[in-house]
Amino acid sequence: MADMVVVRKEGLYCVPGGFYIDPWRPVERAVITHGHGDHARPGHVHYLCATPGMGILRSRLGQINLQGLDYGEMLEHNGVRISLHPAGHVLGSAQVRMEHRGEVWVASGDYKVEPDATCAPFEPVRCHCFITESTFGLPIYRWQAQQAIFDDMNAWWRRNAQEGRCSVMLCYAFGKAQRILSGLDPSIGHIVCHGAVEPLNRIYREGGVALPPTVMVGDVDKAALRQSLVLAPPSAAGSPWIRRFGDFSDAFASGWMQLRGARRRRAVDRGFVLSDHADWPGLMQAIRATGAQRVIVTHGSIPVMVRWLCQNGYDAKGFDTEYGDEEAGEAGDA
Amino acid sequence: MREFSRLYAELDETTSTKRKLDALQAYFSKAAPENAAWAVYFLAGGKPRQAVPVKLLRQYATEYAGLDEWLFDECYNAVGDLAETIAHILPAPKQESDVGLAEWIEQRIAPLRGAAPDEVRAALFRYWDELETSERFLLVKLIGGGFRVGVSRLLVTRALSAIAAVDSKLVAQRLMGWTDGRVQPTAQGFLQLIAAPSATEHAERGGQPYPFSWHMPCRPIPLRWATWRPGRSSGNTTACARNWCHAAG
Repeated sequence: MADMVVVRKEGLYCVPGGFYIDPWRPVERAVITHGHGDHARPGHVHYLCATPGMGILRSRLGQINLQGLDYGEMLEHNGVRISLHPAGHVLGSAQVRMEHRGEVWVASGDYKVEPDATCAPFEPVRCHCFITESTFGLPIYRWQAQQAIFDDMNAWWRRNAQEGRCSVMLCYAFGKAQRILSGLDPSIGHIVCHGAVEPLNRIYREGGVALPPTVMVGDVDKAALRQSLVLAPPSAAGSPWIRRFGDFSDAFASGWMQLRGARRRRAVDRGFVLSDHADWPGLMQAIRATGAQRVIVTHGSIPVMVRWLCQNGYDAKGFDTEYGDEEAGEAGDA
Repeated sequence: MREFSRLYAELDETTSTKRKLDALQAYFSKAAPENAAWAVYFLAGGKPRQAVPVKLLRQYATEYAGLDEWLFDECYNAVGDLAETIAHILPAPKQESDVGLAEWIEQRIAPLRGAAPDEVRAALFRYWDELETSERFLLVKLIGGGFRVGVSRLLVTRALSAIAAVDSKLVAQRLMGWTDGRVQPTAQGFLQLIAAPSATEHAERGGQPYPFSWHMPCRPIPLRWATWRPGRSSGNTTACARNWCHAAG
């Protein structure tokens, strides 16, 4: 049987269904796995995404022709049964399950297997072929349990507050910021959000996600700022906006902070290893849980994962895609 | 080891000299003297000899983690540091331990030098099994002889002088020869480093030179570029030079 999903210059294409998954060029029909800029791009005619992710997509792409599909709900298009299943990456993130003539393919988008309080937890979907991401596809990437990381963050914040120093946490504005928020202890001080973060908090709250109270920088007086924690996108580093916090301690939250070299290049006081992507054991766990014999690896450590999977009895290959990595946070998108 | 690894993490994380100094003072004020003695040795630039060849460290780590060599190479290429690669690939420790730095160095690491490969292998597996990532990183650095830390000897001197309330020049003088490897750091040695000055100290220790700043003989006078305006000298080099001298004076 021919492959159900192939790579075209526009993006991942479901051949019998005639639609694309997270295409990077404008197309007629696009199924969007989640709202990060490298997966949800403007210019498509019809968009389909998981219902919880609609608010995010609208806020980022404006007035688009968007249809929502509840997790687990089935939709048939050109003989392909499409359903979306939680990927545990960010609010509204989904894996795309496609079934055609008894064959099932699943495209993961970005995912992580550890549950967090801000989105529906990853749900393994049985399939014949699994298209997986591989952002952290090396055995050096093993995450700590998130509660330990939140405890570290709160301890860092508390110590800074005691010393009268503002704490500035740089992180990706969509997803990571809200996940951190959900783990912060608001009894330490105010949580100040950058203008790029607050609108997304609002969408999360509207979607029923409980987040602690946040304020904008103008709402807090100078003395209280010294006890505050500021959530800002990486692009705010070194900007006039951030200089107002005076002698602050800064931190960066990303899976890349696992490595000393990356931490040092960032030149921040603290690096918190918190990722919304699966670590190496997580990737392996997810692949095993699908029961798939065929695995197609996209964005990240493609050659390593393909070689490792082939050695372990899988029929594996790679897809070259144009998905980036929001965790690197260079653009600080949003 | 746990305390020292926390100190290392704090020194490694911050770029602020003041926070490094605070971290050093906090460590030295509560560490046991025998551990603090070794910490001074490493932080002030002491280089221990390699106890186990890097090739063996790498081989045993790969074996312990159950990785193929090619996969280890991929990891090493991504990390760029052997000790850090090893620390990250090993499976989670099965037990906890809090053995002091001195015991690690004297009882556990030193005997590995020249030991039979099987003994080294068994010892490494046992040690890795009781340390967490940051401690494993330090252990491999200490065993492999590649330990380096981002503080200057001067900063260590300042921290010691602050906790001992002794003039930093005296601490610097006492530190002379501390890291050259001829004398093993001991608790007694550390206590002497931070002891209150006594009238007999000079006589007891014998003549030791003061550690003047030999490597920085003089400080250049910074030029003030903003006040030097060559345009006003109308091409007259003498006037220009005079302006320069005036500005720099």
